[in-house]
Amino acid sequence: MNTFAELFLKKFGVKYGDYVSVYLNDGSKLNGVLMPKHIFSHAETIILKLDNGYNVGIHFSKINRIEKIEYQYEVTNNIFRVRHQSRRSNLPKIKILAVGGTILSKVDYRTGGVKSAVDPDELIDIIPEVLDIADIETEIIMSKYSEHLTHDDWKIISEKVYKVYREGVDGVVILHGTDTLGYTSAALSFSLKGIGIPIILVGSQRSSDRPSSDAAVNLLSALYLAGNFKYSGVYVAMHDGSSDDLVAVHLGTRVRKNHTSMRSAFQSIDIPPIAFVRNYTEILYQEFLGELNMRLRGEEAIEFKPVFSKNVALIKFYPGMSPEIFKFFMNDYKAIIIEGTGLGHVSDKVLDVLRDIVRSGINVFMTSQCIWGRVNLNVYDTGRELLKIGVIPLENMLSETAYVKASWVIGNYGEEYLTELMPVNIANEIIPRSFVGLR
Amino acid sequence: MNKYVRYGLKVGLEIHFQLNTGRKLFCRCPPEISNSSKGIRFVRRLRPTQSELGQVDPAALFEFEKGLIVEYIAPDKYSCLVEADEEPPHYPDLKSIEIAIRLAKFFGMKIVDEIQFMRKIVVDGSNTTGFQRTAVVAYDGKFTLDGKKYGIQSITVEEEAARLIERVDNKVIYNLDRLGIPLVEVATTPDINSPKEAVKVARYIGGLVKSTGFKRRGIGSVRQDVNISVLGGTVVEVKGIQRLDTLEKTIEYEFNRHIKLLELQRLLKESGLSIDTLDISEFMDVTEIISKSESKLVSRVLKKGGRFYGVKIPDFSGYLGYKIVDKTFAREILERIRFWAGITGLLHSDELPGYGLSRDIVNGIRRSLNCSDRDAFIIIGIYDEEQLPLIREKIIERITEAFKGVPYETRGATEDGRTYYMRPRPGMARMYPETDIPPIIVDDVLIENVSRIKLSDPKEVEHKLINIYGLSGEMVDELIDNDVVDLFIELSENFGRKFGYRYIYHVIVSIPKSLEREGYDTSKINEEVLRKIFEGLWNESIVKESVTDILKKVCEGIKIDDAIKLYSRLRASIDDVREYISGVLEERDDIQNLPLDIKRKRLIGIAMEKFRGLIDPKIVVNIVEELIDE
Repeated sequence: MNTFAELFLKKFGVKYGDYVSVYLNDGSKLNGVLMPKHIFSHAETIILKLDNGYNVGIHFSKINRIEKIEYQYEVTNNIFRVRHQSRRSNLPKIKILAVGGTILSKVDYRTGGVKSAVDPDELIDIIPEVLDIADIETEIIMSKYSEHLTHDDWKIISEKVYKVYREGVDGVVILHGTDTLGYTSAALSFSLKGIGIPIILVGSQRSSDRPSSDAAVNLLSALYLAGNFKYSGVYVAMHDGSSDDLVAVHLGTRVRKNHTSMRSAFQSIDIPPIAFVRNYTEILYQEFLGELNMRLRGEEAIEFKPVFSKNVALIKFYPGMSPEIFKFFMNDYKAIIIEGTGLGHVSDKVLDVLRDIVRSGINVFMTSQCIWGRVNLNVYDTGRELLKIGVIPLENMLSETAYVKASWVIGNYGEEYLTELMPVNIANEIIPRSFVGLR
Repeated sequence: MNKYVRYGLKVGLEIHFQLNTGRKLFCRCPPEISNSSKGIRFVRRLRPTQSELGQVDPAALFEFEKGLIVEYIAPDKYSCLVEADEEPPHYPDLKSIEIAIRLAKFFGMKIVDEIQFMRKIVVDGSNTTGFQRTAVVAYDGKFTLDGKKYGIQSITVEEEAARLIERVDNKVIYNLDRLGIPLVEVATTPDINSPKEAVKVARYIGGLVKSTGFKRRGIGSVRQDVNISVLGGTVVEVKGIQRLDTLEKTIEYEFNRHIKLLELQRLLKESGLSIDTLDISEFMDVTEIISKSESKLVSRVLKKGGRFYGVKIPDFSGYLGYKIVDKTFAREILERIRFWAGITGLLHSDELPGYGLSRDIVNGIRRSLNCSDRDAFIIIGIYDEEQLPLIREKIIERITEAFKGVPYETRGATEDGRTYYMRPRPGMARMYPETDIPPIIVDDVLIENVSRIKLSDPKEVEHKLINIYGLSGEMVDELIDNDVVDLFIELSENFGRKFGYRYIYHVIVSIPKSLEREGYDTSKINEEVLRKIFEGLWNESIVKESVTDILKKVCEGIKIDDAIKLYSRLRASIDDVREYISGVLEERDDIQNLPLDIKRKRLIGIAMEKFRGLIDPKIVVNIVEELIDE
């Protein structure tokens, strides 16, 4: 909070959002709207939006007085609203659930805060083509940036999707921040296993208050997919390249955010995307050798298990890592997922502590920080040593997916099932065959 | 009293200068333009967004509804993820801001204490983000030129837009090389009262920016937007003037346009017509009547499945054909509906019969539209009936504006100094804060850096050119307009005594200018070419008489070294070379004792220095090898 600025404004009886005249010490005057301040703004400046639209900062010391004056915006009759079409009921019925994130977040320039814009009318205002694709209903579950999400949130989202599914919709689209989108998609892949409709998670890398936002293309593609995809299950729909024409459909357990900022940050790991959506009017299916469920009505097949345990750790091994670090996890934790080097290795300096950990009853699993490819503990001495200690390799399961899966196994079945369930395939988190040319 | 004063012409300039600070404003790419169209391509669509005040810019919405597709070319050498809008902007180039503040200090402006970059919505695709980043650095300044005071409204720092390559139908192609080059914009208050004066002011401000040493050069590196009004009229913005001679022509053109528009307003008033009672009819289908004409234009539209519609404008006969400078009022209407509905042509009652439409057909149209001789009509051919309400709305809009005089709009400038309707003037709705860039606090460190940027009054340079080099005022203007002041001073210092300052002026300004008139591509005559010409003259390998021919060859694409060779007065013989090298070998013991390889290189170097341009280098190499073997 810029309390200095607020106190300063209070002195003159004005506040953010007021249209004012600022009288400077040199006798000149500036008119404009008082704007809220950026977190890195100087403590002793006010920000004024001038009549030409520019914001400028003026230091307290130059200001003689500020007076509120009549709001003088010239409202031209050139202000348009996007034309509304009527809603059509013969389209697939899709529920849009908002979790948060950049997609469809809107900056409130008066307060500087970010708020969700998923009121259906607002959504249609921003992206009118929605009406051509689906008969939508929207609901805000929560409004969080995805880095703030927890195990409890995965449960809340799972329960909401399950409820909506039972009420009968053709598909669900979840608006979600991109940072941990892959974790949530994995979580839902396990908690909603066997669900009869497509659940599409979608985010955006450019906020929807920008003309170049990817939100519209991603959302429209997600809606089209939710309504028309032949498969059921949990998927992520995000830009495939830099262009606004192709959106890739990734499997919920095999997707990862691999770039900090690009539209095409999300990639399917060790498999090609399941499909592409072109211009949100066409689905291009790709060959997939694993098993996917077809869309079906009713809920016979669903095994709803929405609980996630907090007692799992995901640890990245690095050269020179102190064994002491592992000791921290010896008390409350029930499973540790290690991101080892290469085929799944750690230094000989930590072998002893791992042995102690396994002996104390904590399950230790091995994945690779290489991201692509499968771990194999039979090739080198270190690997064989790890196997001997009791570390369990997880093939080509993504470390993040492994973390979510262990949390889910403990939450719904109990820790005693970890050794049995972790190494077997439940939701395509393990792909038995890897192909040449897939990177 | 001249006509400009009589009509109260007021002109304000917004001059944009590209800066060369070694990087772009929001990333580390070089501020340079690619000379090829190589690069990764990708396609985007931009959407209008709502501003802070909940408004949508109409021009933005319109472009989107037209379904504009934008293709970008991203050359690796000149663009990165920032230009592609695939990475947030980096911290701004402070040097550009320092230069802006330096200028602001010269103009005695008030410098803001905290600079906030804004997003100015532009959805024609020229910015991948859909907005241009821009910040006001200072406001409220003034300067005096030839005894007259001029105000400076503001100085802003902003990013240059992408470079337009091609526009076809619904698709526009841009190169990202130019996007993000820093621009400093100097906006004057409307104190200028004639076209010539505008050129003088622009030249002066240009000289000032140039004196910092950070002004980019070349075609398009300076662009002027002009705000023009006359007494009783409205301010019209004309955008994108690249040359000073066009600036003068454009202001003259727009001035005349305003006068004619005000005259039309007066005529309409005198005729007793009122916009309140003017009842413009709905569109009526006249396809059947018009299809009987022999007009090729008509049959072309019909063949493609189009239909013709007419609209009646009561008591308006004569006004559609009213001449506004080089166009008719009907043309002004056409430009408006061309922008909003993509209509490229219309027919109107003041130009008919004609265009293959006979008197009978015109009478038929009149009957079906219920037009008397005093009424006017407009006919358009279109393929989509749904456009009709919009077209009618725009026709009414433009006619309504004729009753008010000069419409409030943004116009584009053509290269030959005319203007055309570009779009409605945008409002505040298109500005909102760039939240990705923290505010820049103007502190002591920044001000300290500013003080290190040099700046000199262009008047001083002008005095120097006139008093020391004996140039006329006009010649000085030419040097400035062609951006060759520094080159002139450099060449004058090196070669001026031998050839005379006016001859140097002749070679670097007059000859290229006359070649350009003859149709040569003079863009290839750069500083290096001109330096080499003078070096050639200096060492007497070429003569003054062949300078024009050599420059012609350069324009045709021949490298300057080769062009000089073609006209070389001195040609060395093999014997000359052999004699010279033998002499060197005999006289220079230090070379004699060098290892063979180095000796060879050294000799070639010495020989080439003497015979460059006078003989084929291969011959020199052969002779050296021959002599070493001996």
